[in-house]
Amino acid sequence: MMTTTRVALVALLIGLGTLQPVAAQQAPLREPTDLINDRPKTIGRLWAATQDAFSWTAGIVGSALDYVMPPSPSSLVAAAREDDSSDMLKLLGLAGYKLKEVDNEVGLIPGLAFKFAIVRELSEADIDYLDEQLDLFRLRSPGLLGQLQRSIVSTVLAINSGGGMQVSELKLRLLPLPKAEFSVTPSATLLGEEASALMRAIQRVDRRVRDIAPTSVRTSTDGAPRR
Amino acid sequence: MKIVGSTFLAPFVESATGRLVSASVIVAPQQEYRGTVNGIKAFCRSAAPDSPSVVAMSRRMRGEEFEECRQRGVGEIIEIQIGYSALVLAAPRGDPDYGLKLLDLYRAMARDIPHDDEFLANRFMRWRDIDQDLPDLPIRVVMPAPGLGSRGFFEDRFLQGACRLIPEIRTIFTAESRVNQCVALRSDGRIVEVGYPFEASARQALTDAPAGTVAILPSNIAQKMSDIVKTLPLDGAQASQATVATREYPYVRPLFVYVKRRHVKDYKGVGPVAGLRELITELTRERAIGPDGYMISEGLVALDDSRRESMRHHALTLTPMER
Repeated sequence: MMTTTRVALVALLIGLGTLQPVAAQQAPLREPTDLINDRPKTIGRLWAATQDAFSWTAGIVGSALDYVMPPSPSSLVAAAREDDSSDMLKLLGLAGYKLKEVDNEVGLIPGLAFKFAIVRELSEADIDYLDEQLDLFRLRSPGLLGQLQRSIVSTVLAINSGGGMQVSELKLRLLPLPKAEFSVTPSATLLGEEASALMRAIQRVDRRVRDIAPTSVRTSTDGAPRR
Repeated sequence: MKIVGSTFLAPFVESATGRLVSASVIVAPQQEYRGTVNGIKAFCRSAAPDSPSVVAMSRRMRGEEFEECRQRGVGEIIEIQIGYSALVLAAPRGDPDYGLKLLDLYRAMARDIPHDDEFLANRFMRWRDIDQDLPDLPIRVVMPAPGLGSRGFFEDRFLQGACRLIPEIRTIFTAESRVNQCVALRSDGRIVEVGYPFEASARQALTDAPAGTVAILPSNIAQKMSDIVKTLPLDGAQASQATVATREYPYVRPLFVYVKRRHVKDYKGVGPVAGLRELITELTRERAIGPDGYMISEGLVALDDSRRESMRHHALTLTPMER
């Protein structure tokens, strides 16, 4: 874009530089507006060049602001939605947690936090599997961020498998400063069963609502619907 | 010295002890392999000198088992991971070539199949009932009996792994209810459980097995039985030394040997059980568990270099495990 702008400006200057003497020689009595009317292409170029220059400047300023300003909460929420399959969410999913709430604060200092709630207790096999996945994650993401994410999941796991207590809610705050908050409650509560029943009931309703929409049914060779 | 534990690990531990005995480094230990579950129970029963000093396990010791050990006075335990093994699917050599997905296998074996928010009794009779691409052969599965380490691993990794993909089971909150629902297998004769001694029993069950039979076998046993069975890909992956080491084939289990630290003689020769330090050294040597070690030729998959090094350091310094 910058090259185009420069070429257009140079062409304009050359055009203008050669224009006036020629115009003066050929039609010394013409009105100044004739200059515009007789040269529509040159004026078009001037207009395009001005537009290019403005958009180039705006782009540069925008990029510079992106570098110095923190990301907006809405962009982070959108990014988190897009990145549903990210390692952190996957690990938290394996640890029995699901995204429950997004706290979004708009202001001079924006705030953003994700709340995860426990949706299932882990079996021994789940813990072994999560241990192994954390190990593989360590090999794949050895950096500081990976280490931080692993330590959050490991802390949750350690509390939950310690006996007696569980992290009922995990709050990951990204803005204004990164922070992880663990709400620890006694694990022997009736809430677990209720939450489980509620979750299944919600999913059942959700499936029924989706079933209302017309869908094609695949059939097997004997004509019976396939399961 | 008394060694108990997994029948699967028996050949590996026996080859290590055999070398030490033939070199007159130790006297022949008493070895009794009755499965991982029985092994850990015997190991944790007491810390007395006549109790088992070593347990070989085809999975990692669980938190609750470690806690039970501690409560019975077996607090200091040295954990040695000797390598990996894989469980594979095998079919009679004459069967057509096909591959299974984890969910196909689950649907073939489960007692109940979720359907319209209910769990219905499993009515799949032929592989083709599960998926049109599978052969039109009756479902029959040969698998390790309860109590064997391979059975525990199969339940943990295969069955519970499949259940994580099934929303109706995955959303059951309590672990106990979820696992009970998940690992309940059909009892209409389509599943054949084979027990101790596993290799001989599995061979017997698979000799002249009807077409459509699928066996769940440790990879080294499947290799030994390659005259009558062939391995099937699971989720598109075939188990081999390379795919197991890189976890490209994910149905891999770590193999462990646990030793009671207080049974080990110190450098002054004080301690109740002779030969334990020598056994620990042998089990961690490159010639045993390294990429060219003798256990590798018996079907073990080696740990990577750094892990082997770290494990060796912990074992030789008799560092007690934490869980």
